[in-house]
Amino acid sequence: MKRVLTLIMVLAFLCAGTALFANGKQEAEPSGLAEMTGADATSFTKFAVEEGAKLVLSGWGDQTEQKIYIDAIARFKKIYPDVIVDYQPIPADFQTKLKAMMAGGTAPDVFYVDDQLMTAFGSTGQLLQLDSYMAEAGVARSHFIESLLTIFTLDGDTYGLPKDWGTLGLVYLPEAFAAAGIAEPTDDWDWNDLYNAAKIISEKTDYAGFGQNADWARFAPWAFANGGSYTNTAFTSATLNTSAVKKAAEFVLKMYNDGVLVTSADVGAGWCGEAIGKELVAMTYEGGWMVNYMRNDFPDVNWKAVQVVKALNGVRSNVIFTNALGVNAGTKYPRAAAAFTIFLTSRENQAAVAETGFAYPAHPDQLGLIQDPNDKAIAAGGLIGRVAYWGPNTGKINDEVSRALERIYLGAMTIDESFAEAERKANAILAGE
Amino acid sequence: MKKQSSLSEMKKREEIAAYVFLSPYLLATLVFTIGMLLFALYISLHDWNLFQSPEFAGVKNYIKAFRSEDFRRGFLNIAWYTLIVVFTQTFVAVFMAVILFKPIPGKQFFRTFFYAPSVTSSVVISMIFIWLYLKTGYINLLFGKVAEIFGGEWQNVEWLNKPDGLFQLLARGVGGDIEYGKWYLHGPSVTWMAIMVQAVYTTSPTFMIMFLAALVNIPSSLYESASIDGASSWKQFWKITMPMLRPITLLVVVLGTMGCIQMFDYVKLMTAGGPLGTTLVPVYQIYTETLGINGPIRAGYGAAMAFILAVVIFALTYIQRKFIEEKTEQY
Amino acid sequence: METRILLRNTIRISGKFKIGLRYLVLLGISVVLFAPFVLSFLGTLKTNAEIIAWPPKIFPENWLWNNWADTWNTDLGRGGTFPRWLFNTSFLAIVTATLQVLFCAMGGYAFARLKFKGKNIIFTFMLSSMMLPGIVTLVPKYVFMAKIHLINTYWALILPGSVEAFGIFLLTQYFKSIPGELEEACKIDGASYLDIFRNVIIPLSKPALLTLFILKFQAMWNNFMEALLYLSKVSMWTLNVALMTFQQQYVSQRNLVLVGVMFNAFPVLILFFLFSKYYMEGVSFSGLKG
Repeated sequence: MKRVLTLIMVLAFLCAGTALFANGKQEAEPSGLAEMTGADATSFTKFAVEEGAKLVLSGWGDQTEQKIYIDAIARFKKIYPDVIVDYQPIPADFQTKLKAMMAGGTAPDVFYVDDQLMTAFGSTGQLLQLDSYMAEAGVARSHFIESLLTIFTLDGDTYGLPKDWGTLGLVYLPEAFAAAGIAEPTDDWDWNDLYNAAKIISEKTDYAGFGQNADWARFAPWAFANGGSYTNTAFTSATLNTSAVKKAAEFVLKMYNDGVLVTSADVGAGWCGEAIGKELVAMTYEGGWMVNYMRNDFPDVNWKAVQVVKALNGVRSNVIFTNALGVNAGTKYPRAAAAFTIFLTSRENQAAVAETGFAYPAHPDQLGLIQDPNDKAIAAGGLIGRVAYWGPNTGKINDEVSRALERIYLGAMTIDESFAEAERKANAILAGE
Repeated sequence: MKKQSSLSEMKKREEIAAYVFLSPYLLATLVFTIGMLLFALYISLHDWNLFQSPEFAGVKNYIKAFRSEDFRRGFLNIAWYTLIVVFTQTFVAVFMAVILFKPIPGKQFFRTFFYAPSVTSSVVISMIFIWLYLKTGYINLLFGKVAEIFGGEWQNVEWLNKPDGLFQLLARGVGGDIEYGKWYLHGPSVTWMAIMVQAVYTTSPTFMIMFLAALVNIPSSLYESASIDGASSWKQFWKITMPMLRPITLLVVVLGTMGCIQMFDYVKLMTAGGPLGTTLVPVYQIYTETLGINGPIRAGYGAAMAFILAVVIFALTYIQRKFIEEKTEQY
Repeated sequence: METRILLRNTIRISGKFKIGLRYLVLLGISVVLFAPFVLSFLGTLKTNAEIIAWPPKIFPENWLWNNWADTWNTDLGRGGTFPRWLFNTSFLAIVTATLQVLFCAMGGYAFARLKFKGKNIIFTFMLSSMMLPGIVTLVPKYVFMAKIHLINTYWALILPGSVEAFGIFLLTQYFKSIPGELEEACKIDGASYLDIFRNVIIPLSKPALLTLFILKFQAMWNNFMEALLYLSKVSMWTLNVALMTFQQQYVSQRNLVLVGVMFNAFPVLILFFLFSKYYMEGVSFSGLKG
């Protein structure tokens, strides 16, 4: 016993000693900088920044994404050799950590901003307004896909620049269509085509027809194309108990009850993308993340994508997800931080990122740079979509939509009751209760 | 006269010694706990978004919490959860500790095997249980096989998406039903009970080692004299083991209660409150409000809910202490 | 030893059959409780697709020991390497668990054995402090740590983790369950409180102290939120934080995550295995009972 304790104490002290040394040591500069890609600096104009500026950049992401930012920093250093950038990725709970850091005054100078952080930081003055720096760099709001900027705009001012975006497409397994002996989906499909194909496949083959969970995002292309929305344009009241939304839900529920639409759990998968990978469903709505996911987990499964289908009125709509880069209003080096942010989201940097196939560029004229055919198909549907943002309570409204769908899937309520309840609750949320 | 003064001196020495022994804790509490508690109390009376100065709101946040249907639902859910899980895990932990305490070759290995669920991270445990609970999973397979043996047929259940409550199922068994709007009469849902099973599975071993450590201290002489009197092992367990374990039982019950009421990781990882709100828990709501996970940051509202919860835990703990400690022998 | 007598009784009553039955029960429970661990271990040797395959196969098609090497060789640059994370985690776990055992034993002794003014109030306060969900004070605590410049130092985790209400409560209850005769005898012999603490309480409660050590070692080893918040530099990450880089929303390297999980679980299990024999070291009080 005593020996064990002594051993532990000795170990502890040894560790303490090493740690003190380790603590005091200054971190080395990032090494292994990649060669600059062939992009030419046409739209980003270098402007003067503070001397001896040191910036900290934080974002989420796996090792692939980290590599992309390490490379981007190297490109930035070619233009601003004197600015030091320390990249500190945050591997999980990014928003929580950023909020704590911001409150504690230790937040990074430049960081990813999503709708949640925009809600927390935007109206409370924690983000640097970028418009004047953009003017100096020769970058205008009009250079970006317009809808992407909506989240990051307050009273017409820009507080974040979109770094990439994503949307949904109709992802499918060609083998399922071959097995059923029917034609593969096209961009001209509408709800009825989807229904019929899913019905034939689920009857004739072992594949389930169409996979969709009780999820606000996957329901959005249905509701929006049918002329519906989740809130009014001022984000002050919910618009869930409308016939446009309920008609869309009715069609989804009909598919569900007829067994041509299944949830991922029905077929033994965690989410519908996984159900595609495991070759359990023939079709589902997923996004560009499928490209890396399938390459990583199911390299042997052949899959394709087209745009999400049109509603019966011939209209197509979609939902867009986007994240931005923003600057901490409390940064010591606002000019350098702004320059870095504007550079990261500039045409030349995004062109280099697009080449890696990692993210869709936020500049409308660069969509042609998207390489992967499936990515191309999914991205093509993006410009007709609506950015998933309905004000500061976006997350809660979305939860109410998902719950309304859950109730009708489970048969606990009729569509009318369920969406009436969702609207009642959503309005209470919007009223601040 | 002299005797009295030395007695009071001894008392004084004992007090000084006590405070010296307690000083590390008192210091740490002073720095890290008391300030935080007071701050949280202050914040619960304000509206605060973390970055701008708090605005006084009175008891508005408390009223809002009481009026929130989700919060009330969360309370009812967590009450069921605590009641069932605390009882079951304490029972299972004692059982495991007692069967492991008896000498048997290789028991060091058995103990380690028994302890394994407690060291496996909740993420991995959740992953495994999600597999088990799938509609096409092993649990359904098992029930199917059992049903087959008895000549019946098993309807596969989607365990993590089954909102029907216990009482609702019972009511249906006799041909009735309880409507959706009367959620408070439904009892714990099938999904909720599935999560309880998982919780008991992972926490029982932790409490088992607490009981194991206490079993060592039971004087063997007590058992010796009991055996001479011809008491059976069953009787010895109830007459000697359990009474001697009382301080630890209190510990396990109190810690279990606090842990259960504050549970939210399984909800976060597995159900996010669904299906139909039958796995909503207060701390999940406190977490989303305080940190603004899916809306504006409302730290004051979160703190108010947390204090309401704390008062409930306090009351429960007080009752448990009264109930268990009353019978404890004081040395 | 009471246990030996119990055993003798058992043998007398139903003989070998009952022993066999007990083994069967122990084995059965062991299989149920140890299976997730074994399955996770086997998962470390599979491909990503195999891990989520349905129906699941127990054994990997090819035993990919490479996954272990890949995890070990992870290098995020700027000092973010696996051995470094392993060191950070062990250092924090050993230091906090050791301090915790020491300080909590002191506090527990005061509560269990000494009489002093304010004892009930402090004890009640201590219990109450565990009742407020920690999530509420997450941000204020971070702000405080930032104000006293402890962000990005190990101290941010060590100082608040060195003594906690939980540990004191735990040890108080154990000390209460130790019969008091030996102490009384020492007191009569004129021993000081420190002597009694060192020579009576500590030796008599080894199993309890080890229990606390294991629980706290494990808690710090698995600590996620605080480590994530307070340690930003990749070179200061703990294993649990670093593991999250393998796991993103859609693209996860589950096999590497599971290797990391093994590193999370193994040390605690080994520690428990080593300490486990101390749970058998019963202390005989028969001499004291007169």
